[in-house]
Amino acid sequence: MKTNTRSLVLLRKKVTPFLFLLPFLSFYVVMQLFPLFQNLRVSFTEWDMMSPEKPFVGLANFKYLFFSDPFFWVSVKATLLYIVLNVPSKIVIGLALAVVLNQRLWGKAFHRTAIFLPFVINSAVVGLLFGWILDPQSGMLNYFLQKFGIPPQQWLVDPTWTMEIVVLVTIWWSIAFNTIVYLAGLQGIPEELYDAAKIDGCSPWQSFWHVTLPGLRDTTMFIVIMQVIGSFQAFGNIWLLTHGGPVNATRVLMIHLYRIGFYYFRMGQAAAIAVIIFIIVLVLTLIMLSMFRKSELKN
Amino acid sequence: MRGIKRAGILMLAVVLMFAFSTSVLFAKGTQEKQKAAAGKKEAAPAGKVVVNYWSRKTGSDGDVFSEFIKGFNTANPNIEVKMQVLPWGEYYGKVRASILTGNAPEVFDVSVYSPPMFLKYVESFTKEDFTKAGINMADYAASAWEAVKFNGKYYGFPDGIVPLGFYYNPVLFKAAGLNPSTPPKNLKEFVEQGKKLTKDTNGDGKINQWSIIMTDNNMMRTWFWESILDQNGKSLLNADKTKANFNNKAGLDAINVFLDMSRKYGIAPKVPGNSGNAFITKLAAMDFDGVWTRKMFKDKITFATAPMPQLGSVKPAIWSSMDIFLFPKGYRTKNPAKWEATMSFAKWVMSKKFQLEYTKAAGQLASRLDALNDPELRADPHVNGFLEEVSSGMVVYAPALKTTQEIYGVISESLAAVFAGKLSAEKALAQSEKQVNQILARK
Repeated sequence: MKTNTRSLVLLRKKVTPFLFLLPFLSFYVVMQLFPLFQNLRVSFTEWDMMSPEKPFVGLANFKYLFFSDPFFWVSVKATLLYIVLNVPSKIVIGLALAVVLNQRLWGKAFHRTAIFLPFVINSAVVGLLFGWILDPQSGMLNYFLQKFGIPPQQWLVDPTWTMEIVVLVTIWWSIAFNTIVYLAGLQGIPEELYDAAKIDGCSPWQSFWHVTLPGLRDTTMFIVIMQVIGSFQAFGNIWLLTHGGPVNATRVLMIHLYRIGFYYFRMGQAAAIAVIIFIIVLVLTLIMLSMFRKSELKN
Repeated sequence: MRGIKRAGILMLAVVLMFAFSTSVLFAKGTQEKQKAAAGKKEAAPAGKVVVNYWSRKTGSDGDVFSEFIKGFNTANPNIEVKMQVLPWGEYYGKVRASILTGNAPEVFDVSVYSPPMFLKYVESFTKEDFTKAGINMADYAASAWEAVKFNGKYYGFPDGIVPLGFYYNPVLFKAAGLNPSTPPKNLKEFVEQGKKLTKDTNGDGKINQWSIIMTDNNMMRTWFWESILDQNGKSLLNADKTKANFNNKAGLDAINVFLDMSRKYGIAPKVPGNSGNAFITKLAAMDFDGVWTRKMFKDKITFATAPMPQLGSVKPAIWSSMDIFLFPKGYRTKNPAKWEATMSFAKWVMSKKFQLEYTKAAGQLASRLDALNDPELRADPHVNGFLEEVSSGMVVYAPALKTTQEIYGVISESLAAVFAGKLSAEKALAQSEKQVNQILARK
């Protein structure tokens, strides 16, 4: 009897944590894991989104994307350009802003709020807002340029600088994330390290280089990974600003996926793009993690 | 420790089983829903049959249409038509998803090139069906019926015709010493009149009134290019729609005629823009635009319309779409009351009264001949140019294929590159031809 009660208590102890986890796990499995595997399955089929049948086509969707799709490589190129322009600039600007906001500054709370405010705006609103501001004919920016005698520019119409403009808008909108994370990282660096550096005769720049940057290694790793993943997922702001144009200049992979899946209803190929993005992000993340680990061991 | 591990794995297995069974049940439920599409719609208000109508009429045409529907609902107390307007970008995806999940509306509208996407899932009709329903097919433009005919069957009701065309500002014509009642009919006249309309009106040495501004809308540009291709005696695809048919002199001339407006004749600025806005603000005296734009122009500017000038070398032609009503399968056999109510609504849309009033009030043109030939409409300068395009037989409907939207997508990207100065016209045509043939070759 005593043994029975003890094993019941033991069982309850083991079961209770899982019961608490059950709601989240159910949600996770239904909304995350199941779609993930379902997407993988669809990527090997041909499906028009209406037909109940999904005939298996093996690797045909991947083959089409790599060798026949006129826009797949265009969109890979656009995505890489977006990452190259977006990630480093957001890291540098985010860090610079965080360092400034970490100083004793007049109106610090106000400045922090001002930098953080754009981040709470929905990406769709950002797209529409800048669509108006940058409209070549009736946009606010050209209006002010003309006031200073500068001829109106073909913002978002001429493909030459469209990606750069899209990245600038993205930086304005989302720089707060990096800034806040770096700010938290900066506040986690012990003050004694700076004091010791000062005693050793380090200049502010040397302190930044030898104390701040190494102290932010983990933060930077987190930010780089998040930014790269986020850049692969970029959609809303670009879609609303340019729809992937002009002349495919901003047709990043997510926009290509959306067009193929929801404009042309080739769900198998759209799912294949999602699988490719997943693999690229996974491989890049593993490479970055291993690079950071190696550099950590070296130090 | 081992016990805990085993218990943990067991619990995880239970959770996974629960989650998967939920998903499976959910999926199964969806399939069952699909099978029982017709019977499971929401409960109607007491004594009323609800007819859900989904539309892509996102402009003022949608507002006008929904006002008309109020009249229908009042006149038919046993029926309540609920119109839902969905944005273009997501429209076809939502319709498809609704058919897949068994929640399709009783009727939805599509453009002229979209029926092939839905043929397996919508009702078809025979001539006898129309006769039984009291619709005399001879009352409508023959081309409208052809547009809904696939494999010898009719897959919908041709609700209205939506051509592109030509707008001009008679006030600016007069000011330039031109006769507003003789707008240009061909390229020569277009350039001659265009030169007189292009001027510096405030004497600052810069042109501030152009004859025309080329549209920066990729799709519209492609449709106008296709119109000139047709005018040059070729069509977008070959007769059996298996190959591209535009990488030739006719296609090249069709691009060059628009580029020449700026580089050769100097009657349009080099950079394309929002041609409709330019027309409203009198930055342009003429505009190539769709019939739907007339509603927007109506309250803002004095304008007239004329058939699209023949800028090509062979014959007059202009691209056109249509609004087509499609009816998802299921209701006809499983819910006769709903089907009857849906047909009442469709017949009302095809009636002379509706077609005439709607053509007067909104954008698209009637498909009924007596409405198309109505003397009052024929005398209306805001629409008579478009009516003339239809009655003279110069409208060319977009090819109806499952992949038409995609074909227009690749061509429009290439043409955009040409107009942005990033690609030569020859390369753009060759590139588009290759891509279109790849699309057409796909199973």
